[in-house]
Amino acid sequence: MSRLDDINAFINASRGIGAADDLRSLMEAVTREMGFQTYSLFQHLKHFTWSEPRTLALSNFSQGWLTYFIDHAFYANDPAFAASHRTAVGFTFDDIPSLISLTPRQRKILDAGRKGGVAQGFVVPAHIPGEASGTCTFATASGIELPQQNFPMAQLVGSFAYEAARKLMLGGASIVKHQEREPPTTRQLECVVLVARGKTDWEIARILGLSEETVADHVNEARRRYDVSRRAELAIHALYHGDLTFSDIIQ
Amino acid sequence: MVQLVNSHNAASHRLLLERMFEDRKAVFVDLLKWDVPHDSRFEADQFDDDHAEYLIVNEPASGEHFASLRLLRTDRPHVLSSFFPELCERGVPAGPDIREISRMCLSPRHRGPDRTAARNLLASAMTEYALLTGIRAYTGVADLGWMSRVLSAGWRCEPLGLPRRLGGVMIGALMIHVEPDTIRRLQISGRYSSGVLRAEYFDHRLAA
Repeated sequence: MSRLDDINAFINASRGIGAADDLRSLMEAVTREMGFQTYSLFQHLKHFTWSEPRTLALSNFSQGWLTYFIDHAFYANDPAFAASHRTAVGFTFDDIPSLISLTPRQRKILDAGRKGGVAQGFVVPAHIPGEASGTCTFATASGIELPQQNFPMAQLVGSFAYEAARKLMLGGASIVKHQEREPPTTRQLECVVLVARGKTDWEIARILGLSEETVADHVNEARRRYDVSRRAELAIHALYHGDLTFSDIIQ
Repeated sequence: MVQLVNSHNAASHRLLLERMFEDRKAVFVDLLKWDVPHDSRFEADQFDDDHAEYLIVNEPASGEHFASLRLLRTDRPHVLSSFFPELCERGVPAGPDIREISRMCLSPRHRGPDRTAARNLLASAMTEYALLTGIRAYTGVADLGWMSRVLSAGWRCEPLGLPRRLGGVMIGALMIHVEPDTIRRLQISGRYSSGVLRAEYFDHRLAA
């Protein structure tokens, strides 16, 4: 299929969406398809609370980063949001200093995002008369290049995605979902420690006296709880959340 | 009110057309710096001929031009086919039931609410024109910075290819499908008011 077919398939699917979870799966698929890792759809509100369901906010950024972002009210000063008010065309985080002059707090937000797995991003602004503006952002973690060749596709997909989210919100669908973080079990953490030490599932199974399938289940569940896609990211997130310490891994 | 002007009634709307060509120069040449043919008063190109039709939002009493757009047949040379065929991945859509929209212009003399009202009148007239004459879709080259706004109005849009950067903007070829429920969708977004189109003569088949 050509990129145009992919875009039109996305548009057709997004048009029929009636529930936020359907848009979530669609966004996750198209985000990966384009070579990004995560996405966010946000309307830029002055005040954001998890308890207001009629807010345009949909994202698979790590729950840790989203919570941090909301708890620190970063949305009120977010540099990508601020830059999006100066342009109608998609831009990258690297372009932000050419659109606005960054305040110290905004530099801090960019740094915090980098640590939270949102290191680089392509931001598509959505300016609709009579409404607070919004953005659709596609991002990658530190060390992963943005798929530049797919910016034109992301520009189109971003606009259609924002409209799909907007329709859900206007239709009264509840689209904000705040998952309380579910910490991994002791068994899962034992597996994460061994993954971090470079062990395979087979080796971990031998060390812990479990079957290889059980180890794979523990690792997968830990990935789900930390909201990461790769084994290698597990230890970093476990450290970030304080579930493990360096000495657990290095000893 | 939105006046349909074509070769049949151009003579009786000569002043209104002049106002439109003046505003087009003010917008596209003076403001947006487009590299398009113009003289000191008017912006008009090779497609502003007897085959072109215009939807013009105006105030009959004063002859004031508020907003307008140009409709070109796609079975003849038009902007997409002549200048931007590479924006259409599967060839430039053409046929008697597809019109191209170009030179959509809001008069720079008007501000705020007048512009919004004029834009909504154009949206309504575009829909009525299409439904009355059997046009199933409009095509056009669009600045994709406006995409969210177009979608929020309720138009069913289909990209015809991937967008490209041109100067500081990103442009792409779009098709807007006009269907029986287009009116309902424009009503939901508050863009539609009925019976705004004033036409003495439609140019073609369903006009009889």
